[in-house]
Amino acid sequence: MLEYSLRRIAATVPVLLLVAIMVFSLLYLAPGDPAALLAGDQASTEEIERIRASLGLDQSYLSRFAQWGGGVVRGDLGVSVFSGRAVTALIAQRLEPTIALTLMSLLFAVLIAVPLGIFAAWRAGSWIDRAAMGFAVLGFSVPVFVLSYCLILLFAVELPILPVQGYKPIMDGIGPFLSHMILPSFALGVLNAALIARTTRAAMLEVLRQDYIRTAQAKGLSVLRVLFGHALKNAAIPIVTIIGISFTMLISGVVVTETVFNIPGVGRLTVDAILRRDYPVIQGVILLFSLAYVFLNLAIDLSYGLFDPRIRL
Amino acid sequence: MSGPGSGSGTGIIARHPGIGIGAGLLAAMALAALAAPLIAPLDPQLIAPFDRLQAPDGHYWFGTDQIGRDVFSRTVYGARVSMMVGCAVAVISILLGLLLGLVSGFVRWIDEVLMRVMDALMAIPSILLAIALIALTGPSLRNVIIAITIAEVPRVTRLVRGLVISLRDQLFVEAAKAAGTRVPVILYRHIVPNMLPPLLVQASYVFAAAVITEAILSFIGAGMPPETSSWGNIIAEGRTVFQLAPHIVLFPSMVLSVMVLSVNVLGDGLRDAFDPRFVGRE
Repeated sequence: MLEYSLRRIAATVPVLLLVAIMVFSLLYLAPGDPAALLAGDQASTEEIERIRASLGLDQSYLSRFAQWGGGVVRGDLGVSVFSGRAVTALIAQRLEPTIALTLMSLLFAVLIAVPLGIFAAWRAGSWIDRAAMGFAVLGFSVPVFVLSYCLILLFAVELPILPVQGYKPIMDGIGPFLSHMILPSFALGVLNAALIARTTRAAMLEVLRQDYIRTAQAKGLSVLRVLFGHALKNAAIPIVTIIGISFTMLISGVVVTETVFNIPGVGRLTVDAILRRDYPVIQGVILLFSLAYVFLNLAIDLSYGLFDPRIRL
Repeated sequence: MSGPGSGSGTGIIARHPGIGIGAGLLAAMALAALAAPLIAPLDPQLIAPFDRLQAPDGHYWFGTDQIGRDVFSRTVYGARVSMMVGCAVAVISILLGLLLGLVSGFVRWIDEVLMRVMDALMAIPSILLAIALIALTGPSLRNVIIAITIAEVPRVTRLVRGLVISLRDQLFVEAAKAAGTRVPVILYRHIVPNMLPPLLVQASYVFAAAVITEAILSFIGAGMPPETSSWGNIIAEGRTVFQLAPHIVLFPSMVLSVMVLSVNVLGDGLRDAFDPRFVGRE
């Protein structure tokens, strides 16, 4: 297990380096002069030069990358061109809503999808199974912003029981926090619920065919004991994998959901930065999201040992 | 186990109704997109200042937007954008992924490098990558297609590579090798034809993802140029008056969802018909 873990951890190093190079190089894709573009039409030559120097565009690609990479390693992502504040500070300020949204969506998705998938597998072929899988296809097909608007129309406009948009920090009270979070996290969670439900069903179907399940049933164990005690445990690896994958998918969804619901999170920060071409912020946030992706995948791979003792060896 | 060739075409469609339903709906929408000038009652850009924010009625089927443009006509024209983006991204990503995956599956040192690059590309959230690419290169149909393709290619490459590796060791490939068949001929005659069913399924998922991504990009303001009638653009413009005139957002949203749904139903039907175990959404 130790050797496996070390090898798995070592494998992330080249990926991280490549991600850093790609994210950094985005800046060089822009046609024309990014400094002039940022400075605007009225800018003087000195102003353009100042922005050029602050972005390091007057230096070579390599020395600029070394400087930026060195900063990243020390936890310094540079300074926003737009607001003049440190990128890390900007991100830190926006982290809470994003983390809350992601975790609550995942919670919704798992709470809906795992029982649904288990039940669909247990009663495979029944109308419940068909309905559940129909729901899954629908969940894949309705884009998150479309679902968001339908939910807003239903629960905030027609039946005004929830706020239309916005965010209330958890410190301001759990009630307002939850009422603002329900719609966005549900909307964001549905796509993942669809994915998790399908995989859970497939994994459970595979396990339910096994002899030890028949033995467990023959022993007279209750359905719940068989499904949760025996079957779910053995179907855990694909389910955990897909929950992990769906968690990484949430990262993209967050950007859209935060835009629809006007939530001041990292996703919104990213979109604003991209639209304003605030390069240091763009690089910082995309790097952060990518690191989250890489480390989540690492954690998923390493967690297999917890579910299957054979992998621990 | 059912596989391609285990029944006639109509038999397969009868056993997997999703194929017929999905393909039918999709064909209808493709026709509507092609015939947009005939179907749309009004010019999608025509501004009618006195008919702003009209609710849907007999004249304006989907109502009008805040400058009085006919939402139905705009939605019909929007189908063109989605169809073009979906088809272009699906075709280009499958071809590129096929090429890269074949090379990766057959040349070991390229495999190492290429797979790490694909890992890195997949680590960057696809929506963010696409928004960043478009914000930097400017909104246009071509850039939207390129940006979404870059995000989709790694998945196809991985699928193809996995298929190549499993096919490489199959008996019929070994036999061809033993008989002295050259690698390009093996690829052309034995490997690629066996990959077509799963690639076709994957193409439908790529199409669906591309249509959704285009809508998201335009919605966020980093997609099609704002004057274009794309579904994402119509929804983005409608969002400021959503509580006043929800129809501007809802109608294109519905059509968008139906298009993606029909592609997904078609893809799932094909997958069940072919039973390719490798294909997945991830």
